[in-house]
Amino acid sequence: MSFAERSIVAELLTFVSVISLFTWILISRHAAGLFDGPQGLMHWARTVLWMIPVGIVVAILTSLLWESGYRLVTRDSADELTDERDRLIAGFGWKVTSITASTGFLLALGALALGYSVLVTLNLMLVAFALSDLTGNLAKLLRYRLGG
Amino acid sequence: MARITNTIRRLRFDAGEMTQKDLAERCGVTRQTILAIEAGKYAPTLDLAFRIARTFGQPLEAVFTYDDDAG
Repeated sequence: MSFAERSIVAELLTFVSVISLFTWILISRHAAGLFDGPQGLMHWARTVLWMIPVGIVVAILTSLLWESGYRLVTRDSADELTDERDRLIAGFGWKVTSITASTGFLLALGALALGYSVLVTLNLMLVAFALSDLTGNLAKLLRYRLGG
Repeated sequence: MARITNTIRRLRFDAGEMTQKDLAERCGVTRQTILAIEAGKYAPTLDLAFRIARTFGQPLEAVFTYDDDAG
């Protein structure tokens, strides 16, 4: 397994941990009725607004720690860790990520058009963006495993 | 369907059983990329194709062949 493949696995593990925590927080707050009533959307937005930067910071820190640790152990330079094939596969992953996010956005709009509440629509968008990251990484991993 | 084939495995053998890792280091790529090229699962960029050919001291067409009928 190459550095790029191992990085994807590390990203996936981080993703599962962070998303599990965030899902638990959102479900707990929903169960407590925090997202009900006229102030519900405001509370939802405030919750998601701190989750997004926290998620990004955790992802960046994990990536930096992983890369530093890997370099320390293997003593490889940055140029030796990734190459043109890794960049090609990364581009493929971005395509899958974009398609998933766009599909989710359209589905959310569809839900709104069908009469579902704004909260359901926003949650659908949030899930789509989270899933887009997951599917992008899984697609990259699959491409590596297939050898292409 | 066209397909790019290569003679890297034989050229490595002729070069004193050069390892994929050695070739990868000389060409500035990862061993996994050499493995994928050798297996015909990844077509390298022109730049990398030339670097591989030059590592073996061969012209490009001696390393890579474009087969129109393969696939």
